[in-house]
This record gives sequence, C-alpha cells and structure tokens, in this order.
Amino acid sequence: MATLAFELGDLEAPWADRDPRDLVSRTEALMGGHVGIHVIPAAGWSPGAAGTAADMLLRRIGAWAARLTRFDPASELSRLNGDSRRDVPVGPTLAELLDWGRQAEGLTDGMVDIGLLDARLAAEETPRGGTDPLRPSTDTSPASRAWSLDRRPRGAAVHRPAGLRFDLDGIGKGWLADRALARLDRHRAAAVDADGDVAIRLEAGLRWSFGVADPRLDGHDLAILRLEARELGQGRLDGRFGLATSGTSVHRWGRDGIVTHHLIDPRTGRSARTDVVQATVLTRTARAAEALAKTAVILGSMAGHAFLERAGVDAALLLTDRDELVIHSPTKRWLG
Amino acid sequence: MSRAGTTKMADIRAGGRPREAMGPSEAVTRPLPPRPSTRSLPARPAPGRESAAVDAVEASPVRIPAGRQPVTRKPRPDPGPLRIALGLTGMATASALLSAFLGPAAGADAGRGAAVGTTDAVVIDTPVSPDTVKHVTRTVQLGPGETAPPKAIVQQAPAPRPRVVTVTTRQSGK
Repeated sequence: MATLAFELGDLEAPWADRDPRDLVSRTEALMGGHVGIHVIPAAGWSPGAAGTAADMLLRRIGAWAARLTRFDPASELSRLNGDSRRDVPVGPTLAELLDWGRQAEGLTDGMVDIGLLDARLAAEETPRGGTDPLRPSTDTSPASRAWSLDRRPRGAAVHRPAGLRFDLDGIGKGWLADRALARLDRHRAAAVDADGDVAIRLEAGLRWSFGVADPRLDGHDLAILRLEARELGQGRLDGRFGLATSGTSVHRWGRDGIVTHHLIDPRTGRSARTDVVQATVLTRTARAAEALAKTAVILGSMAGHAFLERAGVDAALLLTDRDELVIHSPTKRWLG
Repeated sequence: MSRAGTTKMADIRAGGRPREAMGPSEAVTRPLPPRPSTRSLPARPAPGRESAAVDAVEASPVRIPAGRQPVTRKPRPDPGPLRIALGLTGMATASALLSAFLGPAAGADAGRGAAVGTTDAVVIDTPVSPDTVKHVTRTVQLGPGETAPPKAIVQQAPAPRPRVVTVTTRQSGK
C-alpha cells in the first residue's frame, strides 16, 4: 500500500505542473521582450471572447509602455529626461509610475533608485582608459533622490535637480503587469507576464504552476512554484501574487576581463558586486516582487536573503555564482 | 319583454310570494336584482346586426361563414384497436433504440478486452521519466563563516529541466 502511494505521488507531479486545461493565452513582443496575457475565463466566456479581451489588453499595455520607454525619443519619459526645466508637468501614467518609484525606494532601503540613468548608461559603455567600472564612482551623490512629485488632478509636476534623468527599466514592468491585471478581475484566474515579471490572481480553490527560468540553459526551469490562494485566517483567502526575477546574466557587458551589468548599486553608482546571478521573489504584487528581487541581487546572497526575510516575502530563490540555490524557508510551501 | 314579466318569473323561481300577493307599490319601489342566468348569458346580437353582416359580405370579398346549419354527425370508428396498435408500435421502437444504445458498448468490451478497466493500469505501467519525479529539496548544512546566510536552506542548484508550464518568471530581455 505504501509503495502504491509512492508511485501515485510521483505520477501526480507532471499533472499538477501542467497548465490549467481551459487556459487562454496571448503573447506579443513588447518592451524589448515578450508580454503575455493568460486567462482562465469566467463562466459564460468563450475562449474566443477571452482571447479578444486579452488582445485588447495587450494593445493597451503597448500604449502604456510607449509612454514610459527611454528607447523612443518621442516617449513622455524621453521628453521629460530631455527637458531642461527644473519643473516639468507629466501625464497621469508617468506620474503614477514615478510615484511608485518613490515608494520602491522606501521599500528597498534605497537600493532601487530610478534617478540613476546616467550610471546605467555608463555601465553599458565599454571600459575606457583603464577606468574600472566596478570602482565606486567619485560623483556618487544623493542627487539621484533629490526629486519630488507634486500630484495634480491629472498627472503631476516633477521637480528635480538640473540634469537628473530617470530610468524606469527597473520598476516599470512589474508595475505595468499589476495595472493590466486589474482589468482582468472578472475571470476565474489571470496572469499578466510583463517580460518575466508576472502579476497573478487566482480564484479560491484553483492551483496554477509557474516556472522559474534557469539562466544556465534556455527553455529550462530552475523550479516550479505551485500557487493557490493564501489563507488569511477567519476563512478569508487572498489569491493575489506577484512573481518577479532579476539578475545579472542577461544585460551584461564585458571587455578586457571586466564585466559590468545593468543593476546599479546606488551606494557606488556602479554595477553591483554580487554573488547572486539571479533572484526570484514571490510576494503580493508584481511591482514589489520586481523591486525586492533587484534589491536581493544588489545586496548579495547573505544580505539579500536577510533583507527578503525582513520584508516577509512569500518565497525567494537566489541562484549564486557558486551554483548554489539559496531558498527562503517559506518557499518550500510552493515548491513542486 | 316587459319589466313586469321578468319580475314575475324571478319571484316564482326564488320561491317568493306570487305577484298577486304584492301590493302595487312594492313592485315599483323595490326593483329586484338581475337574475344570475341573465348576467351569465352572452349578449344577444343587436337587431340590426345580422343585416350589417350581410352588407359586409356583399361589400367585401372576405368569406364569412354563413349562418348555422344543422350538422349531421357521422358515426366515428371505435378507437380502441388503433390505440392498441399505436402502443405496441411505440414499445417496439423503444426496445429497438435501447438495443442500439447498449449493444455496441457490450460489443466493444468483448472485442478489446477491459478497455475501461485498464485505464489505471496504463497510468501505473507508464515508466516515470526523471523529469516527472517529484522534486526533493536537499538541505545542506554549512558551518559558521561560510557564505550561506543564517536560516537559509542552501543546496546545490538542481540540474536544469525542460519547461513544462507556459508562464515563467525570468530576467527581462531573456
């Protein structure tokens, strides 16, 4: 009898890891990667109707992203960065994201800093003249945080030091995923995958498996997280999740043995010196998960793990350059 | 028809006193309620209505049934034998349909062996590939001073495994 139970247990795993049967998915190339809308439709919704709604939402995400990208000179962000005035009015979407940037700064003890575009661009450039891009920058200053937002009925006014430019790459995708997910609340379950940062909502009783990509081999996963609504006590359930991954192995540049990456440590103004290759965080929103994962990478495995523990995340997986997987204890609940 | 005549009939039917016993003044000051039979009867056609209908027939090409004519009923056949025949036909049809539904299932079982019953056996007999085995988290204890943070569970990173789910968190731009 015990042997039979063991065999059945093994056989359950692949079934549980599979996608829900009635999943409707739409994917589009956006934001320099891929954005996916995945829906388990509510009763009365045909797969075609749910797919049409997902297509419309993808177009909406594309419109939001077009305002926030720094790669289009016509975007609202580019116009803000190129504006020489100290006070610049911005529209509601950019204002909301800047507002989140300010909150993320507080959530991460200042490790997420959206005023470091110039440091990021410097890291992308190949090292010249013997300059070590990992050595702390001499011009590191709190000026990157010396900006403020004056909210108005429609949008806001941004006050900032002259020359301060914003980089929203580190906070925008999770925020967009959360914003898009709010438009899918009529369905039984939904997930918005904004190029790897995923906002998830599950109806009580539903289980849905999500992969954590393995950066060492394309198309492979490091782990599978099986999510279901959390119990909050007194019979209340919470099916909201945010799952995000950050790391140093994709946006990475090197020459003459010196390697830089896109995650800037605000304490040095340079690419963070870290042993974490990739950090994945599960918490309640995608925007928080994104900011916390980034922070864990910048801090390194020891300080990063301690930080995530203080933050009270639902799960965290840190892959180190020693090929170790540091697992935050509560993660075991969700592991397949 | 005169009012006095109506009153008289009502009195007789209700078992009241005959008109002769009433004083003339009673008949005038106490009008009787209308007879129930009078209220329930359909209204008679007005005197000029029949001629109006005739006029309509002459003016319009629409056919209006003529007045009632005496109908002679034809003797109907006895329905008993026909009902019995219909009942027997229905039973035969139901029996044929039942045989059609049940017949192939029984035949399939006989021809392919226990197809339904072997479902469990197929699942159990399927060899379990390494990818489908339930994952076990192996905890590694590290000594003090080593790189693992306190309370952390550290393990050798598992070998990459092929993706089996649609939604995967990953580094952006991957």
